[in-house]
Amino acid sequence: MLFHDAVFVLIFLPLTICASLLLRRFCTQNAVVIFLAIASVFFYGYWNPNFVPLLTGSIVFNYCFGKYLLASKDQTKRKALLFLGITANLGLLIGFKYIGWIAEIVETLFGLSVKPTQLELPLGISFFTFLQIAYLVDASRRQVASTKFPNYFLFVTFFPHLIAGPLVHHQELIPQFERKLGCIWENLSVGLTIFGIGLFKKLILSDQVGVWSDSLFNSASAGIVPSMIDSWVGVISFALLIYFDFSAYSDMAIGLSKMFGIRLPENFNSPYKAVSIIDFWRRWHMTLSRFLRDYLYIPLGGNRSGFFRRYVNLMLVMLLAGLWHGASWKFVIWGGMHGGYLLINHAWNTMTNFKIFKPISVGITFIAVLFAWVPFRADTWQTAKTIYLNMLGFNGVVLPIHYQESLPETFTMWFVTHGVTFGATSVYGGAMQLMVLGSLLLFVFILPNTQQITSDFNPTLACVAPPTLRLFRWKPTRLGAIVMGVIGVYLLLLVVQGKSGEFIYFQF
Amino acid sequence: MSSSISSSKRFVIYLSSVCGILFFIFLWVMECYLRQQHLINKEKNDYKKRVLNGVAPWIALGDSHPADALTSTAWLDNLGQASDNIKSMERKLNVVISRRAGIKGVILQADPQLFSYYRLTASQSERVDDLIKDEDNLRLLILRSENRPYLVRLAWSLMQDPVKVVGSASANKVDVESKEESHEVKRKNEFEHRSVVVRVQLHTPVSNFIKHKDASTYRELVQMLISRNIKVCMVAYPVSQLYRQISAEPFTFQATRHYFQRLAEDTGAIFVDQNSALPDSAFGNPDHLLASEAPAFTNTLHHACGVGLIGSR
Repeated sequence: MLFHDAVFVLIFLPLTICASLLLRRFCTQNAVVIFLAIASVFFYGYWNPNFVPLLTGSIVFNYCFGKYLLASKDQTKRKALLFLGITANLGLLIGFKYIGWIAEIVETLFGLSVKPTQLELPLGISFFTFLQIAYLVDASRRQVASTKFPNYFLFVTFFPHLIAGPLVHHQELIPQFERKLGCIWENLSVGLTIFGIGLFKKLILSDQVGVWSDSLFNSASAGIVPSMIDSWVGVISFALLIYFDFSAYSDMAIGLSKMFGIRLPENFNSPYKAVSIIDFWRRWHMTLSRFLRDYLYIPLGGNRSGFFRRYVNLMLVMLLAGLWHGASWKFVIWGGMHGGYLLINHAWNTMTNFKIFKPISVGITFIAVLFAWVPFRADTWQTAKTIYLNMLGFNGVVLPIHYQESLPETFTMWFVTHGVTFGATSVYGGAMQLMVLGSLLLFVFILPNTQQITSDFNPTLACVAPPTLRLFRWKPTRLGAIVMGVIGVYLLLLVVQGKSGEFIYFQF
Repeated sequence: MSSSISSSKRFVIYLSSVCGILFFIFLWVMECYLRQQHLINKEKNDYKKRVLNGVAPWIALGDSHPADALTSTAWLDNLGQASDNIKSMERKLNVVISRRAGIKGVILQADPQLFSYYRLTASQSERVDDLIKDEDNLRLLILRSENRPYLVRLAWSLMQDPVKVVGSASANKVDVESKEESHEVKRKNEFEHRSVVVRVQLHTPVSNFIKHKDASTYRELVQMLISRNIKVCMVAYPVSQLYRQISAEPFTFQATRHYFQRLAEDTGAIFVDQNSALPDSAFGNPDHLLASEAPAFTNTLHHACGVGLIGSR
């Protein structure tokens, strides 16, 4: 079930909200937790029930293992147990996600033909594995309070975050399950608004640019050479697609969670407004960055072991961050590019105090991120190379043939004498398309984000985004409800229409 | 109750009421409209019948060019459908061959736009799936796959013209009359130079079409039919003079024509080039024939493809 599926929006969500409100009124908090856990398992199993035993097995194993770690008094034993626990979790992840890729590497390097069965990837496996690894690590450090099994079960399976994050921390979520939470009406009004914003981003903004981005990458993959203008339009479209898609998912997860009175951590803070790559990684997939910092970068030594070691650690973390997204070299290249950017950024900061004019630094960061998205989206390196060459104009510049007719002859002649040809373009669709892209970029660079808009109601844990102008801050008014209701009808029609693709982050 | 709570409560009640009521009204109106259309418009059902239960010994495959230019007769089932690409043609052919014995010949479209960017990249798998699917048991028409993907477009069009719902029968009559009246004006507009250029731009084959999978699919399709002793007639459909003039410039138009001609020579298929066969007066727009021209053009192909020679029904 996807958050924008008709079954989810029109049946599952209303029923789950109603049932949990009734349980909250007439039963104990424990009953609400158990109900939400069952509903979450149903949500997960609706996609493929075969993976429900895997999910529940993983939860039972980690809960018991965590208890055992907490009870163990011998530090050496705890370390050995932790190693075992992490190995078991990573083994599961590798078995499902990376085994085919590892076999390919073995075959390339050693010529051994190993053909392991490529298993279907369970949805959200990277997420539920990582958050349980964090739990085990903290249990070994004795930073975990003893908790009841239903609370732990719900912490892992809580449907708003189960499939694509945010990568929640047990200390953030479990205590919230143990107390009755906030005012129902406020939770519902704020939650519905945030969910609606997310649905709008997904169904209207993200799907529009998705068509253009797919046009570029699919056709380049099929051997159709794009023009320079096609390449730029397609790559910018993908940058906007992944931005709106991920931002939409994060909003919807936060909104859904808020409807049940649970606050999730902020995951997305206008990343394209970043003034540097360091800043970008503080704003993009914030909970993954936090996990990698706390459970990988710092244990590796962080920046405490000297200049060189710090850079090695950074690069290693970014390569693994890339690999976390999928078993493919393209993600390793993406992670490597970001690792390289981070090294340059840190080196720059070490060498000089020179501050670049903010719009320029935002622009440079955005272009660097754009170039890194190319291998991330392209299915082969060959496709990425074709797009890079065309972005840089190595294959000449082609304009649509109707420009030859519509432009004044002097311009046409000037273009022709400067090597511009007129022919078929694959992605570029004219001035209107550029206006749409321009407007979306303005949306991304200028407007406040959802957390800023709803900041008066603290929908997330520890809001990082700075407050925005009062004008942009949301209030539950009658007029607002009517406007949102009308937009909501349009969104619901799109939901019933059901043409929208799944979230990009579902595949990770 | 604090003011924040009461305003939140009011917000939720207003939001759910507005959203719920309007949503229900929209669905109800659309369902009513679709039911009216379902009774009036049998075109889609007829098409489905031709694909699944047709009996003619020849079939024609392709996009709106054959769809508009040919009529279904005793010897021919016209399975042309607007925007069909080579993959759809292949899938439809497979459906027909698996269900119908005794096909004598296939008229395959051989026009350059089959290798245009938007055709090569279009995902049309649902088109054929919808034809095969048996959805008559789905009571709500809005949920049927032929309607569901277009709900928003339908909602917009109903909001712009509510008369459609109030009295579709009378509206249809007025529609037909006004369509005929405005036909001449529309035709003049559509023959405007710029609009033809834009159309040609859309149809321009990609530069390396020969390497694309669709080119080999097309070739394999022809070879498969010939190997089964099914006659193949590859047809380049007529277009207006202005369209021909503008499409003469991009080299890929000429390259695709050569490709089709060579393929016909190599495989023993018949290549019928009707590209410049008809005067501009025969066209409803730069590259589509008027409906009134279809019977005559179908007859032309009957002779050109040698249908009579193999004893059609």
